[in-house]
Parts: sequence; C-alpha cells; structure tokens
Amino acid sequence: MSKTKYITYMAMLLTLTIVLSIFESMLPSFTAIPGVKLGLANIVVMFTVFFIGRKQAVALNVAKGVFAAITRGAVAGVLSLCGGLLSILVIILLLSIFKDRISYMLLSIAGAISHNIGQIIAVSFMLNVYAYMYLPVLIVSGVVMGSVTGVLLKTLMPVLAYPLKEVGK
Amino acid sequence: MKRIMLIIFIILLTGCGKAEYNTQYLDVFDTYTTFQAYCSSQQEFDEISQGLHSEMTRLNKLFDIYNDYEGISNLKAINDNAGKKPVSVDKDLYELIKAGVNAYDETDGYINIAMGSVLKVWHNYREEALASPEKAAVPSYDELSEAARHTDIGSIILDDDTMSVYISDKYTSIDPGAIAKGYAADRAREYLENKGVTAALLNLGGNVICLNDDSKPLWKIGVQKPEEGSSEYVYKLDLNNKSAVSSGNYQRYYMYNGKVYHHIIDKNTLMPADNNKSVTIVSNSSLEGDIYSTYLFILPYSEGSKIAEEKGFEAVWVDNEDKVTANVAQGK
Amino acid sequence: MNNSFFKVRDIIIIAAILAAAFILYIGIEYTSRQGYTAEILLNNEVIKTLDLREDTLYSPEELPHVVFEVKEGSVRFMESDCPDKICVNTGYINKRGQTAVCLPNRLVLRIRGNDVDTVL
Repeated sequence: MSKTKYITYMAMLLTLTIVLSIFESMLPSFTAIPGVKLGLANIVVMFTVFFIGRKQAVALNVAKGVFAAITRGAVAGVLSLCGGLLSILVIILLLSIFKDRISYMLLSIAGAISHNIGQIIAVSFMLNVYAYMYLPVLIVSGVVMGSVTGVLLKTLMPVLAYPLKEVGK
Repeated sequence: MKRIMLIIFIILLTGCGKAEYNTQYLDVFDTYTTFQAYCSSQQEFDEISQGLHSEMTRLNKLFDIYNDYEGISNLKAINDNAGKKPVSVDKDLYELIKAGVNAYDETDGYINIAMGSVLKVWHNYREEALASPEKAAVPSYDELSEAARHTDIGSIILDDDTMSVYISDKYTSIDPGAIAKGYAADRAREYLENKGVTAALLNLGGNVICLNDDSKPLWKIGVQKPEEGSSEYVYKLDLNNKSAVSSGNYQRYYMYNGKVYHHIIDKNTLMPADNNKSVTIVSNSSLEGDIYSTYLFILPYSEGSKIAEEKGFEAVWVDNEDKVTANVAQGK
Repeated sequence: MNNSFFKVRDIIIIAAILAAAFILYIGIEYTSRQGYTAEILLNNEVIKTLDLREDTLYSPEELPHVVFEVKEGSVRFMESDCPDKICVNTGYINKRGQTAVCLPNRLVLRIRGNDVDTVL
C-alpha cells in the first residue's frame, strides 16, 4: 500500500470512528443505566488492531479521545481515553498470550468490559465517588454489548477490509 | 447507588462535569436543614449555599415570635404591639401574614395563625416538660379555653398601602408555625432559580422543595417513619420540581403519662390532634403543602382524602397503627 | 489473522464472566448494606470518621459530654448533655443515609451513601 493510500485509509478509519461516536451519542439512550452503550466506534478500533496494527489502533484511540475532549469537554475526553486505552491494551495483551486460539467474539467482549472498567476508574478518580459499586452491571453490559459489536464486526469486516484487498495489501 | 449511576450517566453521555454537593444548616427555623445541588465546582456550590443560608436566616428572623433583632421589625414586634398600634413590616412578613389569613378561610379555620395564645400555652408546657421531664403536665381545659377566647382571625388588620399589620386585641398573637417554613421554602426556590440553579434539593426540616433538570431528573424522597429523629422511611416519593411537606406528631412533642403531646393543635378540642401520625403532601407550592399537610393531619383520613383529591395533591398518611396510605396524584 | 469468530468453549468463558459479575454484585450489596463508615460532623465539618466494623466508643475533644458508641455494625449517640436528648432517643443507626442529629450541640452523625435523597 502506498504511503498516500495508507494515510487516506487511516484517515477514513478515524473518520468512521468519530462518525460512529457521534451517531451513537445521537441515539436515544435505550436504558437508564449509565455506561451502557453500544460502543460502535470500538468496531473500527478492533478491526484496526486485528488487521492493520497495534500502534495504529492505539493512535486511533488517542485521536478519538482528543476529538471527544474538543467537542464534549475535557471530562468526556479523559473518559474516552481511559476506556479506549484500557480496552485496546487488554485486547493486545490477550492477543499476545493466546495468539490465534482466542475468538473474535471473546476479544470483543473483553474489549467492551475493559472499556467500561477504564471509564469507571477514571470516574472514581475524578469524582471521588464509590463507582466500583457499579462494576457488576458494567461487566454484564460489557458482555452484551461486546457480543453485539462482535457480530457487527464480523458483518462489516469484508467491507472494511475491501480497500486492503483491492491494493493487494 | 442510583446517585452514583446518575453521576456516571451524566458524564458518560453528556460529557458535562456537574457533580452533587451537599451541606446542612443547624441554625435556621429551629430545625435540621439539608441542602444539596448539582454544581460545576465546590466554590460555585459554596456561594449558592451561603446566599441561601443568609436568605433563610433573614426570613427566620422576620418570622421569629420569641426573639428581637436589632433593626428588624419582626413578627414579635407585631405581637408586642397588639392592641397598641400597627407595625410596618418587610414585604415577606406582610405576605406571610396575608397568606395565613387566607389559609384560615381555605381550611375552615383549622389553620389559624391568630391561635398564638393557645399555642403559647402548649409551648410553655412543652419547654417545661423537656427541661425537666418529672415536671411534665397537661394544661387544664380552663387555661386553654381562656386562651382560645383570643384567637379571632378578624383581629388581624392588614393595610396593603402601608404594608402594616395591626392586632386589635391585645391578648391575641400570631403564631406562623403552620406556614412559615412553607413560605420560606418557596422563597428558597425563587432564590435558587434566580441563581440559575437547575438541580437542587432543600429539606427545611420537613419542608422539601426540589428543582430538576437532566442531571437529576427525579429526587427520591423518603416519608419518615413517624418516630423522632428517625431516618428510616416508610414510603418513597419521586419528586420533579415539586414540594413535599410532612406534618407529624413526632416533630415537636413531649411525653406525659406515656402519652405523646405534640404541637399540632385541633381548634375544636384545643388538644393535640390524634387522627394520624403523619401526613405528607406533594404540591407545587410549599406554602400550600405546609397548610394542607397540617390541615389534613388534623382531619380524619376519610375527610382529608376527599380534600386531597379535590386539590389534586399526592398525599401520604401514616395512621396511628403505622398503616401507610397513599393516594395517587390526579395531576393539577 | 486467522482467529475463529466464535468457539463453543467461549460459552463457558462467558458464563464464568457473568458468574463473577453476579458474585461481585452480591458482595457489593452485602458490604454496602453494612454501611461500614459513619461520619460525625460538628458545625458542618467532618471531625471524625468511624469504622462500623470495629466496636468502639468515641467522644469529640470539643464536646467531652457526648459519647458515640459503635456496636455490631451500628452506631448511636450513647450519651449527650443536651436538654432534649433527641439524638440519644434516635437510637442505633446502621443503614446507608441514616442520620442522627443533635441540634443543641450542632452535631450530625450520618452513615455514608444513600438510597433516597432525603427523608422528611
């Protein structure tokens, strides 16, 4: 892949991440439980870590955090960053340990749970509240949402990977 | 748990950094007052809280019937000048007394701010009993009925032009106990709204007002188990920009021969009303809530529930057997 | 990458994660019901935090006639020199959000956390 194409491709992934974040924040919250959200943007991040590279996935997350900070304030930025980074680190860790013995589904679920946990830790530090009480609910929501994004990832994978194939990698 | 969830909810989904702060006042209206609000910083909260506290202190002094304050023409001054001369007063005190006079008509005379003489008899017996329980006693019917001769609401003469109040009978005095905190709570709401506060809860010792926005869509209010100082609750209310007021036999009372003698006096018997242990009213105006919680506390449930329905109040009764009855608000 | 999308074994792992969450939930519910810390406020400032898991007696330096007692996860005003004794009569408190107040001494005893915002 040429450098120009690579930059364009990464920019496209970043745009997609941001568009999905915005799209998700526009959806009516279908539950009163906080922190329970789909994490659509994670699909792109996961795709990146699986098929492009780990460094790129981390960079994508940082960019997403900066975007959240600019548009929704520093607090949202820090939360996005903490959740995103913990999530990506856990996925990378699991991949290095289990290599190809772990399924996408489990990685997606692990990513969603650690995303929630990362945000909880950030909230606890910032607000000095006992947010840990909320952990069980977030784990369960992580399992559900991780499964949903896992299925979505499987569906979208051919589409996202299409430019990769076209240039013959 | 709910509160934590909400805090996280707000931050995750709106990215807005407001947090809940709280404080308490121990020196207004002779009661334990709690105040909580959503603010962006401790400093912002402290400013609002201090402003609210001085507003409540100001009203407390105006409505005081036991103490004089320098430079303030308060309710005690009106009472002291009964039968002598009219007293010009601050707008808030004038409005309070006017509301009290209106309440008399509205409640068939059950809420009578001119009942100061009778309430004073009970007040003295209660103070005596609390100071030395072995001296506890109940006032005689003669003593009470003598005092009750000077409770004509018509003795309170109001002059809108000069905002002055005159009590024409020198033995009559005003006791605003059933309305003062309600009036103050409504002023507190105005103060908070003017300051741009949109999510807050003030509990003025049984008079609650709340403001709601997205950061606190509902405040959860527990109706106290009718025991002195209890923080257990027997019923949960969800409040949205409303007031809730409780009148109960556990708020100010003393014991004599194993029986409770509390501060809400039935005009017919001149004795503490004994139909309920507590009545809680949810309404828009806290003044109205204060008036009707006392009124319905005095009446038996069968009569009170009709009035609550007519007025469209959500109300909760705790009867003498601790049975809790709540009607559902019809909307008003 | 040639990881599989889903393995049958995953079901067991997911079940284990959910079970862990459930156990965590039970544990948190249990400990939060214990309340386990009470705060004493004098003139609106926290002067002491009491661990309710340890039975103890405590008197504030400023108010030696007031005694707090922690016993079996509950706390109360055991003694007070105030005239009305409302604080002492309130008795033991042990649930999140409960308070006992002594207006004359300007003391508030409360257990942290709450499931209603206020009680009236």
